[in-house]
Amino acid sequence: MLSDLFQLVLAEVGAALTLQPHVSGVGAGDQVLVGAVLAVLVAVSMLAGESALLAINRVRGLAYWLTLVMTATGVLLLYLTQASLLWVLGLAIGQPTDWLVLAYATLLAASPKLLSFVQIVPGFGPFLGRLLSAWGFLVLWAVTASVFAVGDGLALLVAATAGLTGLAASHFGGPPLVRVRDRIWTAITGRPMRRSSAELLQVPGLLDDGAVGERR
Amino acid sequence: MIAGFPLAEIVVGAVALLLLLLMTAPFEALWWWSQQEEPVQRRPPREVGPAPTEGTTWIVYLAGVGTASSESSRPEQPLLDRLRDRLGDEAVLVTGVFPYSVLDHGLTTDRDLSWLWRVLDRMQRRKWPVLPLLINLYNVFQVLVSADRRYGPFFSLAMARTIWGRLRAAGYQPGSGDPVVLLGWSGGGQICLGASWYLADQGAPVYVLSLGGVLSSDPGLDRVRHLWHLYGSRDRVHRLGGLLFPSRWPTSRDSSWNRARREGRITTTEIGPYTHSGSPSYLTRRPQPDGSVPIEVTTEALLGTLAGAGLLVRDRAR
Repeated sequence: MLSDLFQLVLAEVGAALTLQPHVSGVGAGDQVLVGAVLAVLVAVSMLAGESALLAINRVRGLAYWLTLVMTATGVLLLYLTQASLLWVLGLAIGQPTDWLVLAYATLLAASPKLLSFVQIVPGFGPFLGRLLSAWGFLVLWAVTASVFAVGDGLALLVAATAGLTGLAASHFGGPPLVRVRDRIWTAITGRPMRRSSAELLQVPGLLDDGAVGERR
Repeated sequence: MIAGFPLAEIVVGAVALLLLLLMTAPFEALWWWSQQEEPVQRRPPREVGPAPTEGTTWIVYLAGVGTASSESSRPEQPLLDRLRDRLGDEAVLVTGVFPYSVLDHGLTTDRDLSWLWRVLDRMQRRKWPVLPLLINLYNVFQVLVSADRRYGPFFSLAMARTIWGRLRAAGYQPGSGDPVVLLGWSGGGQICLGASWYLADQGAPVYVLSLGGVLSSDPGLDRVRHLWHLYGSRDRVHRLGGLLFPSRWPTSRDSSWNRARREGRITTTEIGPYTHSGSPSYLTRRPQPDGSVPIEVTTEALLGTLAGAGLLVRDRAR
């Protein structure tokens, strides 16, 4: 059963990555399972790519699992919001489509993010991350054309609108969510969350005797 | 496949291996950080760097990316010998830091794959082609770790701790105001810049002297009193820093690099027609057709830079 599921995930992801998604070829039940597995795998990969941030905040053990759940939930929320946008846009262009199909389609567009672990690469990691985002947009364009059965031009317009609106939503909606996350983090760990390792540079006296030492 | 030769497979395998090595490059720095206790802030920030005293200048040398350990014989050893001879009592030259490991472990000791690095190091000394380049590759990836905004702050902290420990062991008095010059060859130049931030935080006036260094716009530059970058006109490697790191491009006006440039804290000087590692390089001991000896020219350029900045005792006495 499990191997069948992973084979299905692999087949769906492979098709999406090569810009030939078969959204309608999978049953509704399987779509939910494949979508959930994809969201978790993307979250695991994203966390691997963000190793520096995890390390600087000493995220491990239970904290790691909590972060994983939060990241997977974030991925699901982001792509389901995009699916809702596509649903509205579908109505606007006269192609009403089942929301669940759109949710599955947008989650398939997250397939390139399965490779987010490459962002760990020093120097070029953030650039590779941007390439993956661009690839994700191409997949979104392909699934939009496939799901709405429209031409490439209209599909590009719809995908770009959904993509840009999603970006704007995460730009304006992200900071409040980050504040909530930081409060939860501080409440659990008793120390503020570092946004980047650059915060280390602002701590004076790190070479003083005893300021930094090996854990006992 | 060309006539039975699996070229495509070899290329794919090489790229995959390269990506794997790149992805694992930050692991040592991440592991080091995970082993440290949460830093304790013991004092408020202080004004960085008092006026340099006229005391001894302390020069810390960080080797280039071709080095496998701080003990192994290095091509730049003759340069260090010349510098030590010429400096005499005018400055203290501190060596022995391995700049490509946060643990200060050379590649040839205390590692699971030490035996492999020892073999490669021997091959390098016998001038075997290709395989010894793995040493360079490993060290280049650590330079990338140092230059990366995500890993740099803790990689550089570890390097600064090692350098600070060596300085103190050599007799440097914290708070003395004695100038510290970090002299980095090749990738060592970038490691010098990274460590500068934390060393300057100790009140040491920090200068960086880069010899053909591949330098990023490291935040450490904000605390460096002056960076001198010496290079050869035929050295293409040192130019990579300006190409690979976008924050060095003129478009990044507010980057540490461009700020330091505007403030006149960066001086670049061409010292001769030298390549990075070919011939003639900065370290070539064979006289050239014009009668000059590159290693002597390099030594003079380094000492002349220090003297010009008033960092040598004899210069102050004049």
